[in-house]
Amino acid sequence: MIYVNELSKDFGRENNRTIVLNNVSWTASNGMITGLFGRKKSGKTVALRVLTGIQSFRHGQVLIDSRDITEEFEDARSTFGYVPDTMDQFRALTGEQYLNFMSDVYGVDEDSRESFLKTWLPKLNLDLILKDRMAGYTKGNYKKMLLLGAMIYEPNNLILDNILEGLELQDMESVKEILREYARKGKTVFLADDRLRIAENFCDHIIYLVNGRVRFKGSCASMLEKYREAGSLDAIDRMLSDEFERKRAEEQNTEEFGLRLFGRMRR
Amino acid sequence: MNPVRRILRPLDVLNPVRRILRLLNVLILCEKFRIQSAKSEREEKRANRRNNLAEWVPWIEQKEKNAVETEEQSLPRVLYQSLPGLTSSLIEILFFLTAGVVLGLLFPRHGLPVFVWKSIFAAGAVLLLIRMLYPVEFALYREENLPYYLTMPFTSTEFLLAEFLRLTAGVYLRTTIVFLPLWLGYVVTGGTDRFLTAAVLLGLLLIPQSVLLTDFLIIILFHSYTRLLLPERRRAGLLLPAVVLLFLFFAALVPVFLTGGKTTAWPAWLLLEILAFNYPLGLLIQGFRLVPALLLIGWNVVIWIAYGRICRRLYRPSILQRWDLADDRRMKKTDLGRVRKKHGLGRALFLREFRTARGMKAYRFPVLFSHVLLPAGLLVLCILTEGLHSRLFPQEADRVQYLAAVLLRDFLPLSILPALWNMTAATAFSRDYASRDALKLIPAGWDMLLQKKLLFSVCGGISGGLPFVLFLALWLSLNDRIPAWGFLPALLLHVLVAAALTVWLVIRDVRHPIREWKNYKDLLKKKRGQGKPAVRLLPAAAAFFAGVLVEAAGLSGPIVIAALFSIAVAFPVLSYLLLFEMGLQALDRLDQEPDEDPVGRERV
Repeated sequence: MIYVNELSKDFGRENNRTIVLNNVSWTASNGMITGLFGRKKSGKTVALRVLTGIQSFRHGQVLIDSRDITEEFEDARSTFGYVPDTMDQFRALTGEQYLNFMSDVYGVDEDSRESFLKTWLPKLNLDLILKDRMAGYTKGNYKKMLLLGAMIYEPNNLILDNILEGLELQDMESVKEILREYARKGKTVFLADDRLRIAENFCDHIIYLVNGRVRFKGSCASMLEKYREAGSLDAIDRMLSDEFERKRAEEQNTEEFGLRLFGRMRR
Repeated sequence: MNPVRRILRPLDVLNPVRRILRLLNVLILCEKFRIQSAKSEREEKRANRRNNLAEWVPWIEQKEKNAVETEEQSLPRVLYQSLPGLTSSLIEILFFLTAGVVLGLLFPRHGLPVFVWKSIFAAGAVLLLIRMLYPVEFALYREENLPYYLTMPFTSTEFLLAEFLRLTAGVYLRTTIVFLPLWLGYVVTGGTDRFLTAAVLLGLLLIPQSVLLTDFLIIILFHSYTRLLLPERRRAGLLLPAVVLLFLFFAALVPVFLTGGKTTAWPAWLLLEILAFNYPLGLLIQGFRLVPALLLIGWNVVIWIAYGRICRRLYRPSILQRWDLADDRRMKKTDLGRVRKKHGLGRALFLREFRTARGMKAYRFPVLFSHVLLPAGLLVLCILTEGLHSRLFPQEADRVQYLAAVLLRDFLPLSILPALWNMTAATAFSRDYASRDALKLIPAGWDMLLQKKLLFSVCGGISGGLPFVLFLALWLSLNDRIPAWGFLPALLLHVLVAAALTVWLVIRDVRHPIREWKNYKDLLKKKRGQGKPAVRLLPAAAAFFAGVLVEAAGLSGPIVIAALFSIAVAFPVLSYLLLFEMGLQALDRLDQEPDEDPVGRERV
């Protein structure tokens, strides 16, 4: 379970601070697939980096399986598997070397390793390229290999950043099915993506971020119910983001108007 | 035109070195072609498989087929997978060997190419050994992986692996930095003996500093990707000053090569030999690879014993007689020529290699010290400092403390290492100087030269050891054990000692020609009194002062020595301060720089 309480993260100096996460709270429960959605630069990736301990945060609490990510960092790190959005890790290794490395790091014994690979490699169509260097992988294959690396030690929580990006349709379905199966075992799957539509028939719980703030929390059905007038998840996605853009533009206009008015008054 | 053909075509008209380089290019290109063609073949196969639904849909059939296919291809596949690494290693071995052979053939009469050959080969061999033993670790330790490692349950011990690999990368970088200019300088100066003096000075004065400097650069550059600094910080911020500093460092070396000193001989060779042996060794020890380090120490013991045995054997009367060497005087080039004519090139080369063997007898203890006792002592030192580091990281240490601990851990052995090397050399010189046998061997004027070398050794030792004091003080001040300005006295001490040494050298070097001139005048007067005006005063004086000027213009002249000391002391101090400041600034920026474009985010 991933528990986030009143988490705030900002960058910059005291007098010029940019807020990336503003007092956000959520819970990703066991046995569920929780999706963190929002447009680009809404704070999703930073949120995942904070959850995984790569970045620090100013205020709040993050618990992974009841372990505080700041105070019990050593313990908390062994409870999750993380797949980042970047494409530059372990590219010099072959897929096999990478999986062996991950198994060694997390102490997976030979038998479990072998049975895991026998089960999952064909399902993800990775068995043929296992001995190729990851630098030559397509984005989809690379993501799938990282996913296997994160799953090989069967952590209680999977934290995935844009895992479905770059996958072919068939692969996407395979990955979704694998994640569903993983969640069915009572584990937590927490993923971030900027396409809300993928949540349909996939995510059990949705968190929608707009400019570092939680705009919506709930199931897919409740979201569709709440924004009934939009009709579809795509339309809701557009509506929530456009609403924010509109408000920001209005604020800017008001500010500019005030400045112009103030200038005239001075003249 | 086919690129391979294009490269091969003008091969005949090129000189041998370029030919070798071209051939290496061809090898690399062929390797690339092979990889590319195999890759496209695989891609094609994969595409065919995707297109063929009959193959694709019945999953089990496909799996079985794949299994058969994999089995059939397993051996060539394994070979193929191992080939790129193997080929590059072979190319590197070939390069080092070729470089050594070419140097040996081009400059057969000089000791330095042999040294360069050995040092390059030793460093290269260590690197290759490590690369062959730990290929996956080499691939794992790439800076882009480091942020990802933060999510893994690594302990500080496991981070040491990354440290070790950082250091092995450092071996290569430092070996290149230190030895490539030596070799280039040797070539630029036409392989003259004066370069040997330059090399000695370089070794004594600049190597300690360069080791520290490059280490610091590496620490800054590589550690910046860990939790310590910014995972997503902008790289150019630190990279650019680092490159500029490196450039300045090389610029500081230029005068060393352009103005060579006068003659020198085997002490320089031995000193550089010591450096060449211990340099990779120290790094291995520092990187905490105990087994390779112990193996190298063992190897050094063998070398030490072998040297002693060869020394004894080589100077047996029967051997001397067989090789037409009448007595045990120092081997000269004419002797070598005679041996070469009579007994062939191989034996002459062997003899030349050990022509300093007589001297080696006097050097036995220093060699034991530098090759065996010093590394063993360093090992203990490393364990102690590592213990300190582990205690600070990662539990209760804040970032500044961690940085200080890393600096201390990395710098303490490397600060002491060159200092002890230089002290060892000093011991060797003093022993040799005190040795009656050695005195017999030393030609006229050598005593003065030896004194100078001894002096340089002491200076080098002090200049190498003082940064340790400086960093200790800095660490103490960072830990609030002493006030923030507490490290300034250490800095001041560093500069003052260097300045005092410089002044001392200047006074000595000015006094020496004056004293010599007085002696010379006395000699002339004496000769005149005997009624034999063998030398006219004016031309003799002109010649003498011209000699002094030449000497002054060279590295042994007081002005250049002063300049060198300024460079050797001021430059590293400034670099340390600048780089440390940069490191601290980067720390400050840790939570201050947005990792993405902040447009669209709320500002407060």
